[in-house]
Amino acid sequence: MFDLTKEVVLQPSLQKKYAALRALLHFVFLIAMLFVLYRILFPIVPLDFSLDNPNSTKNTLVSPRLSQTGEFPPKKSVGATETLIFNANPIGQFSEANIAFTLEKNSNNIENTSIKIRKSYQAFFFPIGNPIDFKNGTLLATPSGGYYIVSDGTARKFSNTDIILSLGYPKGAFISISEDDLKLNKIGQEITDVNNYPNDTLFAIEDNFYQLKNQQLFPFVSARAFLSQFDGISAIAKDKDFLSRYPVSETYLGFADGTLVSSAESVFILSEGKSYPIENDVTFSAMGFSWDDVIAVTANEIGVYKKQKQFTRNDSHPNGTIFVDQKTNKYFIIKDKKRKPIISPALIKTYSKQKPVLASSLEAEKESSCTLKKKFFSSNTYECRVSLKDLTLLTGNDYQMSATFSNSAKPSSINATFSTPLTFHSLRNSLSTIKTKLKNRQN
Amino acid sequence: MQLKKITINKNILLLTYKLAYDLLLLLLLTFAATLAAEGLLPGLVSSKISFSKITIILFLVLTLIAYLGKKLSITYNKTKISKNKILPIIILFSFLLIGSSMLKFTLWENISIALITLFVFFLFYELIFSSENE
Repeated sequence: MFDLTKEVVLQPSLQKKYAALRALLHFVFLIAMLFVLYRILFPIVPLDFSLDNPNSTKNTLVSPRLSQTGEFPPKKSVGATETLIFNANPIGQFSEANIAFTLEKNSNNIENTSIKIRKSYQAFFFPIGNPIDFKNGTLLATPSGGYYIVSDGTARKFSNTDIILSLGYPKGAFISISEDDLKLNKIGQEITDVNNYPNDTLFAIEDNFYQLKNQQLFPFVSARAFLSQFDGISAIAKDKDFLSRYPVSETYLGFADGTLVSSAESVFILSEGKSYPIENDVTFSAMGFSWDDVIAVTANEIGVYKKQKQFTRNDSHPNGTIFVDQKTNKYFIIKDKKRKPIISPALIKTYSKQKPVLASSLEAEKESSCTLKKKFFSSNTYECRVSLKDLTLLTGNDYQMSATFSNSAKPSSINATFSTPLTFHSLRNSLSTIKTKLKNRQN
Repeated sequence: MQLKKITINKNILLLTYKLAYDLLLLLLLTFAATLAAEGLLPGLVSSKISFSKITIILFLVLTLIAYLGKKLSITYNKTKISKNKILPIIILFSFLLIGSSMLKFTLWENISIALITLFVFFLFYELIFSSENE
């Protein structure tokens, strides 16, 4: 055997002992290495939230809140029959999760409380809101022969076709909709003035696009930005002299909310004038985004957005993100913590310039559950183990957990530990992830 | 009786010394493997065991070896670096480690930078130890 200290000679009686201890050392070391390898290939992810320090950056579970109010429990107290919800976003495929609540000393017993767990995207768990309406600037045509423009959120009817012709709206830009679709937007004042354009009218002047708002022309930062929101045909072509008619704003209009762009080495998701740099490729994939949707933009294009903190897998998809339910083919758009249905095909055409994120309402309803029991050797910790076998392969990166306590309780911390099964499938999955990461590092 | 006790203690110390050397080798190999894995995929191993822990254990074992060596009056003849048998392995490993940190460069750029870096390290070594060898 390879001896590093040949010069140091032991007594014959100790040489056997040395050989045995050496073998033991190698064996222990091998076991330790195998354990590290096991933890790499079959990861265990512990996630926590301290209700004593809700703003701590060390919290890895996401926003514990009451389902009734959507707010953090006031004074950390969860009333009887109130439901506490929180989210977890571990990366990987897990077979089970251990969920534990540690309570304040003066808190009531929460034994036998049922914990329910579901899986989808955080934003896809948002409550369903009112259906989304047509966006400003869209030109609409109804079967009864009415022509409309969506202006300031309302559908304004052109009183006659002569006005449309004299103002120069392109006939092919009007989208055919049903009478029911028209009801999505409030009906606004009829357009009778042949000299003035209504708000939100779109113009194409040379290679630039503009939108009229309050008698001011707002330029789009690029043709690409315009085309991410509207069809090229929907803008009225004008010559340069038209710019003297309306002052041009210094504020640029950007891409459609929810657009993915790349600049330098980073990928951003854009929403409401803000750019969110996506943490890494793992987060990008986990959020259901597609690399084919990423538009490479110039520094000028990204420059009109206010850069925000990193978009991590713990964040929900921002306003403007579009989801499609794979089973029912229903579309939804995220707006102010609501999931608004996009109910007509005409609407889908106007919103879905970008590939939507695939999700499933049916899968999001599927749940696993477990019942809290008092932890051994602990006076105020209650825990339960829930199988994730039915959930792990479902679409989405977010596990949403909910607990309805029978007595009012004061939790001081929550822990959820996700573990991976020791199976060939998990091993193949881990190796495939490592391979993908290596490939991404090379590119 | 006193003499026998001293002898036993010395043998145990010798045994510990030899085992500490074995442990050092295992730790160094682990450290090298971790470095190589981290060079290829940052966070792969360090997310499970931190580098600081391995480094601290390494230094503790080194301190133990130095302490026992001194106590047992064990000395070694200085060998020239060029005569070291594991030198080619160290050079190859360093070359691969430096290379793996520059995967975004083209192959030839990567090889050139890695070779230049190794050459600079060699010059530093010569500069620091040349006076001792003389």
